[in-house]
Amino acid sequence: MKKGWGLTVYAVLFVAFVYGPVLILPLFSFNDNTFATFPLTGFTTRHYVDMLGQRQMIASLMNSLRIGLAVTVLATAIAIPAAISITRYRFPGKPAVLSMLMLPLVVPSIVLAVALLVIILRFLGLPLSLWTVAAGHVLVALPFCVSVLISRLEGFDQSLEEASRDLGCSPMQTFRRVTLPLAMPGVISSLLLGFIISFDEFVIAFFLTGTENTLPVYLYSQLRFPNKLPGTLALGSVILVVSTVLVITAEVIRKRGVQTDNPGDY
Amino acid sequence: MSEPLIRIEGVTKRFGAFQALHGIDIDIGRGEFFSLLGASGCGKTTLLRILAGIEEPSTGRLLIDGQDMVGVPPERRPTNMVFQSYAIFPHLNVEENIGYGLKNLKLSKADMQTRIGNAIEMVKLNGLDKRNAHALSGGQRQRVALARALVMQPKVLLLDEPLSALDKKLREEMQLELRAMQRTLGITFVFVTHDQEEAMTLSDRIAMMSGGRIMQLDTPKALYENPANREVAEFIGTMNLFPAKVTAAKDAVLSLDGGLLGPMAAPAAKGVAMGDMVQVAVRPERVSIEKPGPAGINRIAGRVKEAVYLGDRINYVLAAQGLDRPILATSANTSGEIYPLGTEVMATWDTEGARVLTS
Amino acid sequence: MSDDTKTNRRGLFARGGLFADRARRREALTGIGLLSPALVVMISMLALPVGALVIMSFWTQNGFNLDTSFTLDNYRRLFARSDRVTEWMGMTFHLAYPVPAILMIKSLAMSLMATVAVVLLAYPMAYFLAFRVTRYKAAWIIMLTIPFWTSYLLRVFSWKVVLGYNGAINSGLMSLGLIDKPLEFLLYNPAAVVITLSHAWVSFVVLPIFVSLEKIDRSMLEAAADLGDSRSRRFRRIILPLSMPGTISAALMVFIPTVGDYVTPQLVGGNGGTMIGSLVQLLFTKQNNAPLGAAISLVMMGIIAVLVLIFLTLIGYWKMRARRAS
Repeated sequence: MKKGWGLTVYAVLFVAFVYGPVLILPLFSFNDNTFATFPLTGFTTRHYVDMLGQRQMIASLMNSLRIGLAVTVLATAIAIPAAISITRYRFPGKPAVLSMLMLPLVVPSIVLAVALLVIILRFLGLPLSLWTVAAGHVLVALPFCVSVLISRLEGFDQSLEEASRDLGCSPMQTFRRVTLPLAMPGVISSLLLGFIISFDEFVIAFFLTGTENTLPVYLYSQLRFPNKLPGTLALGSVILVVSTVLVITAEVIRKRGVQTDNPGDY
Repeated sequence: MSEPLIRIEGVTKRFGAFQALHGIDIDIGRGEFFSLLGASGCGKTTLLRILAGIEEPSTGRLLIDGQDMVGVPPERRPTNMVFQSYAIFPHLNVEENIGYGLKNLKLSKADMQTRIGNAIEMVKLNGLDKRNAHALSGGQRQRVALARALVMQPKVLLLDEPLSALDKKLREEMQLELRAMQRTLGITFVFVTHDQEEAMTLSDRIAMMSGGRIMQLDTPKALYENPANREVAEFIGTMNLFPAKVTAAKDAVLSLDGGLLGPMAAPAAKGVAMGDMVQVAVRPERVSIEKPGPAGINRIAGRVKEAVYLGDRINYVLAAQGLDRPILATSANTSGEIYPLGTEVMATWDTEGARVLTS
Repeated sequence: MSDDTKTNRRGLFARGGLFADRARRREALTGIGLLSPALVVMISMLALPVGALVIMSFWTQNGFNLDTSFTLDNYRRLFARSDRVTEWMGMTFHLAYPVPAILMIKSLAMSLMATVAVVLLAYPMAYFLAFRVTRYKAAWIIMLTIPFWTSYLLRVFSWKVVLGYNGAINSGLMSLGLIDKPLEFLLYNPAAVVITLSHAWVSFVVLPIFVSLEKIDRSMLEAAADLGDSRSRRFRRIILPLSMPGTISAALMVFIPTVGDYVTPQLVGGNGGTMIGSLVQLLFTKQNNAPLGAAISLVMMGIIAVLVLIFLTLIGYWKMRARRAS
């Protein structure tokens, strides 16, 4: 059909606009030059090799990995019962509770950050550390984990769980034998997305971290030094690749789950 | 019935402000094929789910085999259910689906295999043991759901509109199979349906429900021949209704005045007294069509508005003076003749074929 | 599930409702029990901290000392009038401390521009995805999801590399011989902030808009065509109104957080492009006046909330959603 050529061109331009600036980072990270300028002067992997020698960077990377792992496991573990409650149980005030769970999505992260900062330092008198960062990250990851799991749980018929009870399984056995296996694609995407959110988060980490850095905080501190630009570009590119791989994995698992579970004639 | 298997006593169910069931009382006997029949939203599925233990009644008692079931979770009830959507576990194959509940019974491996094998045989799924759930057709899914419930050897099998997703031919085939299976196994079946023909085909007794109440509980024949009220009469089959006033009652026969429709007569009915406004109900197959003639008892003059030729019978739609709705008449096709449209005719019926309905 | 069980769930407190019914009460308690870990997180890490922020906003900072006696001084300071007149963008402020007010208005304006740009950019893309893409739809969706999940910091930083004095555009144009010396107006101004914000958030709204378009029953469009609507009239009379609620909520999900953004102004805004979030950050760090920072963040949240509610009421959002749901 002839219609819609304009829109197709627009879509291509749109993708170019969204991806273009971001792809500049890996492009210049392989350029043999201290400045991110055209024309490109030559191909090098030097900046990546240099990165491996940066002790601080490696330390912040390890911190981010540790926090990300802890955050995502915790957030998903909290989100699973919450999503089951919202999709499977009737109780008063459910819409209000659901909006409250989604609140961290709309509150500007600087407000979340300073609010947590005030209560931690002034009211609880706790020292800032990677733990306080992780706490803040659980808060921002939770709405995403809950949403992913809710849409997964809504995706299969509740009568499957009723059938399991009818066939002699207790609620716990039903969870283990029916709900969990069927929700597994959602659980995995929740784990991956929770990890990415924590791994990429900057504002809360910046305010709540103590003496140790997370990777984005380290990256931010490097942005001030023009002579460190190539290393920053290389580090940024690595982060981009890692998140992209995780997102694709999460999305593919989620989509595949949806396809295979809706068989038959309806 | 000496000792019912299921006793439902004053069961009500509320969902928030919505009352789904109002004081239901039913006794269901051992080995009975019992149907809950009604339009959507009448409460039949809610009642079935209360039997299964998926919903709890708001008030009332439920006994199965003499044991109080209120508060007993579904996994500890002697009932198993065939769900409307079949609820086949998509992550398991046929054999695993059928064996799902057996795993909770701590059977030996050999016992389990035998029971699964028998169940597969019974529902004619031989050879499909390892087939994945999403590679099954609608009819096969229905059979897996049936086998999965029956393999548990329940005292009561609950079926929630199990045939509604199948096409007409397959549905009729399954109806016969279900009936035969129920007779051989001797298990009590409680069957929910909105299809009156299906309920009539299968059931020993039917509870016709509407608005969370039981309208009438009877055998299929009694429901059809002696409907308790207008709603039952019109839900089960079609019914001509003629408004009339009772003018006399003697020798078990009522005399009625139908105004423009002329005088009528009908067998006496309980609670009907002189002067009452009632509906005289006559099934279309009880109405015969004659050439125009003199007026008289149970005789209404009309004009043919529509004549539908169905081969073995002819359905007539007649317009009559003094009646908003047309008169429906079904005549057996004995002569091959049809009254053409516009013909003036006379609709008549025997007094024994009429019923008097007060509500 | 059958229609019999899909019943009215309102009126839980009505006669014979939740508390008269043992089974319902048990179900409700289990439901709330399963939710409780999430609720604990929300209360201890969102409600209580915001409460702490409120309390803090009534305190005052004197140099290094925090005075914890209750006072409205911080709020008074934000609204105190003065004879000294400050001019900004043709507006006059009779305020003793006009910086927060100016930054607030500026942030709202920049955020609004970015939000409008985001919706205008994303809508045609979502439309294309919903109505034109037939093959590889999942791949398209994933491709448009990825940018949203990649580091916000890096997406903002990439614009610094693109627009910078020694950046990609300047060096590119120079190496092509189109300009002799770098264009200085590219970076460190409000326009750079708006562009960067639009880019950073655009992938966030494509999917919600796409979902609201995808939900539109195609037979409705066929019916409209059958009744004589042209393509453009179908868009105006069916697609646009039905996708409006989804589009508006997506727009708000951009507008609200961006008003308080501070990474973007920090990296690409320069002196001219600072926003209210930058001020909050400064007060909590370098200027060491957390109580004033707390007051400013709360006033900011209040203003955003009021504006959003006024906006939604003006356009009849709730009616629109109710109609859509029915």
